[in-house]
Amino acid sequence: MFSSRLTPGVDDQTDYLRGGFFAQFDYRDNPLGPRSGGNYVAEFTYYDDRDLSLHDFKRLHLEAQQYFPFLNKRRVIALRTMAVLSYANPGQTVPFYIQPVLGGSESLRGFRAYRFYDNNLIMATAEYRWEAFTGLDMALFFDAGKVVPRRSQVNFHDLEGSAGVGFRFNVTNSVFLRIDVGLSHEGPKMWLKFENVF
Amino acid sequence: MLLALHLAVLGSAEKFYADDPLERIPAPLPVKKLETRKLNDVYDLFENTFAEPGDRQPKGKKARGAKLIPAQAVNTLGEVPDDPAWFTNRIGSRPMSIEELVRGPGTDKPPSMDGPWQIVGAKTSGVTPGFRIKDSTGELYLLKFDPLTNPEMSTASDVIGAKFFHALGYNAPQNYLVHFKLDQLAMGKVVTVFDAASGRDRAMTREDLILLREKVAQDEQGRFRAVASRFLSGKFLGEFRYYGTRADDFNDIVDHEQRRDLRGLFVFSAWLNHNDSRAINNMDLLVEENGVSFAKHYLIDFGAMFGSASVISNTARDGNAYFWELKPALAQIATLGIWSPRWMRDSYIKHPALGMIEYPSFEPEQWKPNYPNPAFQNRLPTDEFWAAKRVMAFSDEAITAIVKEAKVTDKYAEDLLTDYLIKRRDKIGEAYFAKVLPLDEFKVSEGRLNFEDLQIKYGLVDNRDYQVEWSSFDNSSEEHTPIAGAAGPRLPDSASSAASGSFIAAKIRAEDENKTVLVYLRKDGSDFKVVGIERTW
Repeated sequence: MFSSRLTPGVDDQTDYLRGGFFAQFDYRDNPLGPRSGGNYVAEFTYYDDRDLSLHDFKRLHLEAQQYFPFLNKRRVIALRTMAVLSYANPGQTVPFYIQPVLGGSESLRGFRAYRFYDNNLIMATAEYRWEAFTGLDMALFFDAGKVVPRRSQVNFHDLEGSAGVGFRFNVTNSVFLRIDVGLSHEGPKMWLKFENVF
Repeated sequence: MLLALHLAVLGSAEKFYADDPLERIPAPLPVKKLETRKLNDVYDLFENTFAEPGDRQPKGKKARGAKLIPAQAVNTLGEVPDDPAWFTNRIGSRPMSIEELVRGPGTDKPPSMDGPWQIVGAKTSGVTPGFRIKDSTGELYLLKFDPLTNPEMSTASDVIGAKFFHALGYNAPQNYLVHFKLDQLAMGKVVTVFDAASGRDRAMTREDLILLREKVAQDEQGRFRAVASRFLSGKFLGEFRYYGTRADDFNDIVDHEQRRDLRGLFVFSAWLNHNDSRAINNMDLLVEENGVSFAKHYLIDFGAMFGSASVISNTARDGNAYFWELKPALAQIATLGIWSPRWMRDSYIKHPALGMIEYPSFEPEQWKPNYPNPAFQNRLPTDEFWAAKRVMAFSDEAITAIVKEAKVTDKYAEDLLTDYLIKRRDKIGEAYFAKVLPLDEFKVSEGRLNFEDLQIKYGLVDNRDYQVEWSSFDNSSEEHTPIAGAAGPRLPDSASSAASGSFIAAKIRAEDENKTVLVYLRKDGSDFKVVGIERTW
């Protein structure tokens, strides 16, 4: 069912030597349940295939999160955009198990986990969060994104989308339980996680 | 026979006894053994949030024509008598010097700096660490620190909170502000800490101590700032709840939700924004004083007052809403948050050393602790008046002097906190003096009944006319007989010829017919003494 062309690395797994660097500017008020501030990350990683010499590649991960509070931080517009770009060496491929994925509890929540995977990814999420009472924030969210084999295909056309509602239980503003229900053209999906989405 | 005895007692009942008004509760009966009853804070939260423990004031349909439950543990003047177990009259009852206010529960036993402090217990997990230490003189203290995000915030709150509540009359611990370097702390022999990685307790090491540098701010001299709360002597009995009594303590005879000192605590907590005023922050100790052992009730842990939530800054919710309130929650869920309560839209002031404070929009009646408190909810305007008198007795100078003890580095923050407390104090007076006819300080001199109108005293109203109706009062039958022609503050002419031990009463009202003060006078020899005060509203 899965060929090595569609799913590189499915036949043989390899060992990697991985190195890289990153830069991060994080000024969120509370990383476990942010209500203001932002978090900006740029990460570059080199993957060196040590066994097969078939899957050498570089990856650039860019992510931006920004939180816009109002009503004394009891309401928050939370935005996140992310791009993952892969730079495979000539004649090399990115194995499927390290390809960026969309779908699941973190992105495109209206689709099943690992629903979309390919060399490159672009996605955006917007959430409107509001406090219902101490210990429970609710959210309306909208996810959009896509995965593409080539970097030149990274654009905002033909994005997959999903929307939904979330329940975020917290203690002293730190989320410990999250229930998100996402809806897409493939139907509804419910996620129960013991961590915040972003 | 029992019935006959009971009826005989009823038959001899009098409204006022010879020793009224009681200024102090009779000495407690000696209690030899009381069990420790530790309160679970989660249980307390759920019980008070989703149930209504205690005997509550009638409300809703039941309130029509029903009799309200008056405050208990009060004397015939409506004051709380001195009671070493619960409450000692201080500010508002007698003059308190600035020195006495600043001294608070005591300043004679700060931890000695002559030798190292031996750690005998530790909590290194969580946002802020804490230690139990023994100083070189053998005294025990609890060391508490500020969160890294808010240096000086919770220590300031803890130190001056104890002074305010002591001045208000409660039993409170001695909290000292201390500055020390890491080498002041010495490892105790067997100290365990909770290891978050393994989920188990393990022996504390020097490395745990060094980690203090990562969790607690240090000043330019490399010193930590902390509160050293002196251990109170006595056997720990648990925490007193805000309803019911201790079943095993026969000195504890008044349901806590009916105690005026606990009902009035609402007003004090509102003033100081002590929204963490819940049972878990109380403590009962079996103590021995004057040769009698009894359960003594303390308020402890004042780190979450003003703008502090102890380990973080307050949020807008603190002091404005319970953790759980059905109607606002449903409204916000149903409207997707488009509807918002008032407190979300108000403006607040933030400062690292103060947290988040509120006073332009502070409304005492709207203030709320973290979750419902039976004594607070049972309060009546008379309880509020009793408490508001004490709050208003804090002069600007007194507040300024106490706030200085917080030793906040930034003068702006100190001034802000002082201003915050003064403005909130004034709002307390404005709110609660208006709910009754706020007459106080009744005295008879030169044939007149003199009193003070607290709204006039504090400049809340300019002037007021009073109507006074006099009656003679039968202490046995509790019947009033109007004295014809007697009006105004001057005692009726017939009073001078009345027998010693007889009673007269003056009913005073002003512009609002519903707000009255009934003052009972007893003739002792040739003088009249105020023995009773009753208020309607």
